[in-house]
Amino acid sequence: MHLQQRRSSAGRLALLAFAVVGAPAAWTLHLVAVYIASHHFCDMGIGWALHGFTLIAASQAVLALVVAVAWYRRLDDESERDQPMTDVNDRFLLSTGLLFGGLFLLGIALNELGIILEGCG
Amino acid sequence: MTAETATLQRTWAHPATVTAWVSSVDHKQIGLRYIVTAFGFFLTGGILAVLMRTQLITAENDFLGPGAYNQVFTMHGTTMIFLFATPILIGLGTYFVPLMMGARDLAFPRLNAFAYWVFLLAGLLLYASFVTGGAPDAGWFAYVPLSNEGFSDGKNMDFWASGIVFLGISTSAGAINFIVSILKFRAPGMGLFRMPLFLWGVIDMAITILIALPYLSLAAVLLLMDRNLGTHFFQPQEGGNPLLWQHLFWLWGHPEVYILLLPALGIISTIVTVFARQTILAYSLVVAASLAIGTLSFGLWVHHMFSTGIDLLPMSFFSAASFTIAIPSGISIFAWLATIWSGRVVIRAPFLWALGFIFTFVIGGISGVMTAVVPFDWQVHDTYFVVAHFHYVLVGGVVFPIMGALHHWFPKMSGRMYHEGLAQVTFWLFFIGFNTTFFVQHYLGLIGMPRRVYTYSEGLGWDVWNLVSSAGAYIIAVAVILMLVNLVRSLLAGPPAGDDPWEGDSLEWATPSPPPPYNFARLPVVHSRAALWGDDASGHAREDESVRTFAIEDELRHGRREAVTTSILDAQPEAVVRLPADSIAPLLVALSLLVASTGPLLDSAVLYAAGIGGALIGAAIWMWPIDDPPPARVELSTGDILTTRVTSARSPGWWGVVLLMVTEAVIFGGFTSSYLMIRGDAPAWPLGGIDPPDLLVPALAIGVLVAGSLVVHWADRGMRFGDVRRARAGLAAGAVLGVVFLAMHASQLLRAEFAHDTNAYGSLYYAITIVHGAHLAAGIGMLLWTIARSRIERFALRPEGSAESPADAEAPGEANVRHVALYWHFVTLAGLLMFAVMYLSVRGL
Repeated sequence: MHLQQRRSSAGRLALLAFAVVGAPAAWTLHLVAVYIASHHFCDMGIGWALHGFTLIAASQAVLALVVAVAWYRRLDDESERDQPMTDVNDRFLLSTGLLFGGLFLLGIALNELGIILEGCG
Repeated sequence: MTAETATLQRTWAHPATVTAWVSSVDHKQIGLRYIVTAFGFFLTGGILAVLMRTQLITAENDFLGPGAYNQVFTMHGTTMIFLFATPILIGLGTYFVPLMMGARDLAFPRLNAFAYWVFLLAGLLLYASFVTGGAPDAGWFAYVPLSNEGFSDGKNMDFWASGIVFLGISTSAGAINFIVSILKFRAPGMGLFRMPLFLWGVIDMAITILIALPYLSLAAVLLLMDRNLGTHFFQPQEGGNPLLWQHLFWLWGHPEVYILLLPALGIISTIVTVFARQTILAYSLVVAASLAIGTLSFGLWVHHMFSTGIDLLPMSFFSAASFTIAIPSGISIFAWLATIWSGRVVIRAPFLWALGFIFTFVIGGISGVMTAVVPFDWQVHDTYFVVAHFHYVLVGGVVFPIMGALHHWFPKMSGRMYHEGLAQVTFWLFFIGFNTTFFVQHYLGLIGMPRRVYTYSEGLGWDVWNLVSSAGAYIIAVAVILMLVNLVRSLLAGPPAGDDPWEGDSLEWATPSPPPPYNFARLPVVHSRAALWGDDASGHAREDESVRTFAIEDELRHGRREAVTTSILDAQPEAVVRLPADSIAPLLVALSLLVASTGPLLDSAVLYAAGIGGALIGAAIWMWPIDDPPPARVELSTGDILTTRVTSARSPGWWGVVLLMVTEAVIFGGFTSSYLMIRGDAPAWPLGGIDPPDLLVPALAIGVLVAGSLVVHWADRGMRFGDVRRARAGLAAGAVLGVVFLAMHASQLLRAEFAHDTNAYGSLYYAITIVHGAHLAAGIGMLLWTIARSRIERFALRPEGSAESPADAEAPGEANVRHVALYWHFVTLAGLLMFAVMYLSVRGL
């Protein structure tokens, strides 16, 4: 495999990985960050800064979802047998990314709801 | 028998001797051992449950005293979680994963045998506590301070913690084996999008185990150290934190529910597909839901700690995650219901168990959502409502699928059919008994009955409901006895099952019942999701041509155990790898580790040292290369030519090392979190007026470590060009630098003005330094072993610049050097992390 081909294949895989795991990773980091930071930020009187974590995490999840949707729509809607193996694989993984995107974005939104409603008490 | 199958039989079969039996690495034999052993523990745990329910059948009963009751409920929980549910699912996976993915065996057959022996010995170790003066009695969750010295004197909880650490080794080994096998050993054509849902369940389980289990192992080790070495991780009077235990325990404990549930969901999908004669609708969504459940499970651990005084805001995050996980669970439920609705259902015992699962699991899920509401959780915390909830989740969600799986696959494993009528009676008895036992416990909890009490007073309104609950437990016992009678009788005299009594869709039904040692006479190529149903997903037609097959010519010609590895995403053939022969070494290593485990229990350093020594000797026998190296290329009957030499992401060994590093990274992460948590609560750091550690020697040591990594990298690069001398020199230099690093840190510990038992800071400082040092010592051992192996196996020299052809891209021995280098770099990275946490951050750098 030529170097250029290898690079483009690695780039494709990286983008695919982002479309699939971008949102779960954003939710995981958000949960850990707001859990650890909430106590300290509230003590320091800067509880509002927790919204910043939400903004970053939600942006990443939305971006992953957008990549998944855009890529998914580009793939032909043919039967499995008529498509190249790579496309079938991509379609399958991207459909996983679509569910992840919606679900983990909801998870981030629910965390933010806690921050809005409960705040620093 | 054709010449091909005769050769395969000679290559893969085992002689009928005791030595051959204990040396066997056949996944089917090991899987069966797991299933039988775990079922034996299920019966034992069940007897303990019946004893508990007999004690509670009436108010102020004196059938069991409080001490005995504590031991019984502790061992019931420990047995059912650690010795039954997890191992039997691993056993089912061990037996059926290779069959369902069209492979000869799992990726690491000896590791598989080792994992089983460790599980068996750990179970025996835990139960040996009954004989040696008292079983564990602080609950299966072993909360400190109850489980610590002063509140649980004697060896009871030492047995528990040692058993848990021992079991952790077994389960992690099994998890690594499953992940590598499913990623790399699927039949050609079985891309990720065609994988049977049971395989998805098993790989989800394995990934979750790998990330979650180290927290429990770490917690158990810290508890053992607190109890036996005078450390203070959990003791607040010396700066420790009892809540650290709960964090570490539930970081494993909540994902554990899903560790059990995820393969169970795969079993339900398997059964529903076969008996609804319809492939699962919304396959992609079901897979995604399964993966989402596994991910979300890591965000729920604090919901077990709502009553520990955590602030409301953090609790709201974990409450939210607990609600969110209901969504993917609901997706799976609706997919099964839609599949059943659109299929042509055949009612058989496995299908009844699947229906029973859906009914009970939904109830367990709903009560789970109820306990996710913080105020409600405060109200029912530590009451029988929670007992009812988790039994609906774990019995409904896990035991029902296991029972279904045992009936579904019994014909395949035994070659015999069970009695259908008796099996259906068993199901209904179990279903009625289960709901009678546990549904009323919701009400008992709501009217205030606390859990873990050995008796209760009359007149509280609990008597009649306890009586009903105990009656239900006896009905369950009758159902289990009936099932045993049915299966044993069928095993001895049941009618022959044939290869495929259910007309199933997946590859295990393409083999004889029971399968031969080599599984498939010719290896399958997969063209559709339902491998045996072809493109007709409704199962109406079985397309013979839907499963093409092939053979590995070299395996047949030379009688070697070989397997084809495939690419991760689309399962294209990549290489042919050798699988190891039977060996007694896994048993020797497991026995040695048992001896080492008994050292702390009997206060014997000699036993500990002997065990470790024995394990090292066993490991050397295990890895001793005895076969001639295979040729560089091997031909398949399809005409394809595959290489036998692969490194990096194409190599199963590389994946094994990476996954080992993942689990070790979690251990270091756990240590770091523990350090930061205890430090966060301390009035001053270091505690007790101890001066921050010197920076000079550790900084020099870390420099030495980084230099070691550089020379090992240089060795790795040399091996890529076939320069064996350079590789040996680099590895040897790395080992020397490793020894220098260890010596420098040993001198630091010897000169320290505090000890491990001074306070929690001292405990953390010593523990982290020694654990990292132990990893480095293991790395040095690996470097030396690789150097020795390069001489024994005569790693071939290859002229520079000869790697034009992909098949010849890797030199013999290159993979060994690459893998050991990878581990070495990981230990260096861990060292850098520890340096930053323990030395730089203390000085505010």
